Amino acid sequence: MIDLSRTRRLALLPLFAAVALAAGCAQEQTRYGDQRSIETVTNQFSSTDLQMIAESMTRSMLQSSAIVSGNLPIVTVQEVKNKTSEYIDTRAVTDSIRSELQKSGKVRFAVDAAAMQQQVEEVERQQGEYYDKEQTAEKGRMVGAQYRMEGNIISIVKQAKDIRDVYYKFNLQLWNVRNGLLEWSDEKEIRKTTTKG
Amino acid sequence: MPDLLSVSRHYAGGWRCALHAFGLVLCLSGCAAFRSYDNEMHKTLDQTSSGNLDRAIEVLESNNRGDFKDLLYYFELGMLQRLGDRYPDSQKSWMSANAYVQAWEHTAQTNPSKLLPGAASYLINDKVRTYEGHDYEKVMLLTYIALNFLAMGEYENARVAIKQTHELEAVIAELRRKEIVEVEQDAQKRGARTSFKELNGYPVQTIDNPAVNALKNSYQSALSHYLAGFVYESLGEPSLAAPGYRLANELQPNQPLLEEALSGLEQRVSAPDAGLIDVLFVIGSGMAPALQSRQFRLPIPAYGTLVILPVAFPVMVPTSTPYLPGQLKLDDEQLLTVAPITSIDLMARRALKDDMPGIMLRAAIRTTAKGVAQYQLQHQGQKQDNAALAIAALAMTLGSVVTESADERTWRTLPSEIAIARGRIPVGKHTITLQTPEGVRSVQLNLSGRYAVVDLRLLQRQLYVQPPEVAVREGGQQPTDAGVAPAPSTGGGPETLKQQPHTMETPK
Repeated sequence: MIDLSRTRRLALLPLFAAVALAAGCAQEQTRYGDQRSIETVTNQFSSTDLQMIAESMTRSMLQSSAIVSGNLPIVTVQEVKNKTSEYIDTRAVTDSIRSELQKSGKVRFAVDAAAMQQQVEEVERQQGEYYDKEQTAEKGRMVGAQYRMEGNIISIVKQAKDIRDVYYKFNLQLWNVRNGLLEWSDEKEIRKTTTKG
Repeated sequence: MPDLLSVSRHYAGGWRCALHAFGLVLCLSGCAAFRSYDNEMHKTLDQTSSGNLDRAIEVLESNNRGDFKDLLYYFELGMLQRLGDRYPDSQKSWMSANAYVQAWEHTAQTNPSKLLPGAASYLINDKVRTYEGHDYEKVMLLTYIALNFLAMGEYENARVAIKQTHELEAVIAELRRKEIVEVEQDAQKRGARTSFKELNGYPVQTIDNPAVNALKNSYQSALSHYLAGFVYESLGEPSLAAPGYRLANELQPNQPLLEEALSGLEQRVSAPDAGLIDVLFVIGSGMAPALQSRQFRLPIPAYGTLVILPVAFPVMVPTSTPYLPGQLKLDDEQLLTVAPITSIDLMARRALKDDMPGIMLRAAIRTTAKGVAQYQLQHQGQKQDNAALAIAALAMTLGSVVTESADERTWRTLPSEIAIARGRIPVGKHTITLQTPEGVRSVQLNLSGRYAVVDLRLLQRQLYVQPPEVAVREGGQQPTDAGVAPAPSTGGGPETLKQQPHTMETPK
């Protein structure tokens, strides 16, 4: 039932335990890494995927006619719908895209729906008696966006015995608020396959 | 296949070492090797079912007198404190438990080999192992920590706990995948049997039945993911709420209530604040099943034949008959459908089923080692006509029999079954009524804000209610007007309000 040589080693178990204890005392080391290095720890949505999507979408959008020919167009960011079964923080993706676009100096952003409540509360707070009336933000002075940015991310996951394949498709769109026309749209596809070693 | 005699010949001289090791480890492990957790918890659970939470905690403390408190102690203590609406105390206990879980998680990621059972497990029994918690218990700990935060109106902190469950599940999935392969390979090398179906007399159907096998794994619960959806939704993050509801649907399919959560997400998020509260009722029932040690006969090859040796294995035993009502009545007018969402009973059974190959492998090694040591002592005693060796052999035999006991440790104060109900109701006082086999239970709640979670726990003679201390409005901020008040019964028999303000006793 039990392998002979293995059983003989049972007598050495206390020794193994002592060695294991000593090994357990080895100190851990923590160091900073390159935040842009490729992360393939698992095949779930990763920091590399986020960076790839943000870079790809920003580059593409900056070349769109709405941005190139517009005079510092004003954009508002709406939701990127997560249609996967993974907890992907799509707001982190749109935040990265917005930061890159903002840094380009070719786009301006209006307050989005998620931040509207705080914006309204701040404007209302400034109407109080403690503020200098000449410098306070007046009601009715907010600027509406010309374009709204929205999108979605989907995934297809296939798993067999020793292989797991994940396909992501991130789609982003820029809609003209006034006339409802789709001004720009692009997709970024990512495929990751993990084989069990 | 080598038998005990041939093993012992090769092992000559090692018996002294084995005997010393057995004695040393037994001394070091102390009472842990003889602990019966199931017996220990009887009184605590009985007091809890009777509404005597203070007494239940006293009993728990009396069973854990040492300075060192293990993970299981904090699991149980946190739940008893939560049932008594002592959320900060409960959180403190569960944060201590979470510190153990986080240390385990860190080890699982950085050095998983350190999680392998220690030598004592192979020499004495599994009870002497440090209690690491079953996978589903670790996930449920974070889920209940989130529920505590929600009860205290701390939605952002609940989000942190929820996010930790996602990370923990990923770590468990990876670790178990590797572990299954390793146990299979190790057992194959040793020629050990790891299928509990080969154990004569083992109640196979308790852990191998269609309901248990239908679970995707032992640790993912639809409740945890539904709650994740609810928390993200309440914080205005529909893109994160959607996968929560989607996963809940995958884990507990064909439940219209769960399907509606996903299909109606966008509509709910964009709906104007019409003075309605989105209330999630979490209804837990009964107590988690017990693990009991039972002895079975394991054939060990010896003298060219098979020697039947008694070996203890854990058996899952239900300890209560949980009841879940089909509906929840609001203010005598609105009926909310109650949908079963998570069965801790099934998860525990699945966990045992998945653990059995490892348990059987350790038992096989342990039994052979003990058998070898006994044989060597007897053999040497007879050869040298040495009375001391004969007595040592007898002591070794007795020690083996006494210590041969399975690990019964499991988080018992968790509910056995959990269901949910959900509805949008106006701000203000509401009477919630549940029909149970012991009669009608009612409780009055004063709810405010845009989102609230009310946790109800049905025990044999008791209904515990964990309402929000403060309700939450959109954005996770706390309004000032909130509270809860118990209400007299609306019928069904005399009910007595106990010391805890939100506890209602059922007539026996």
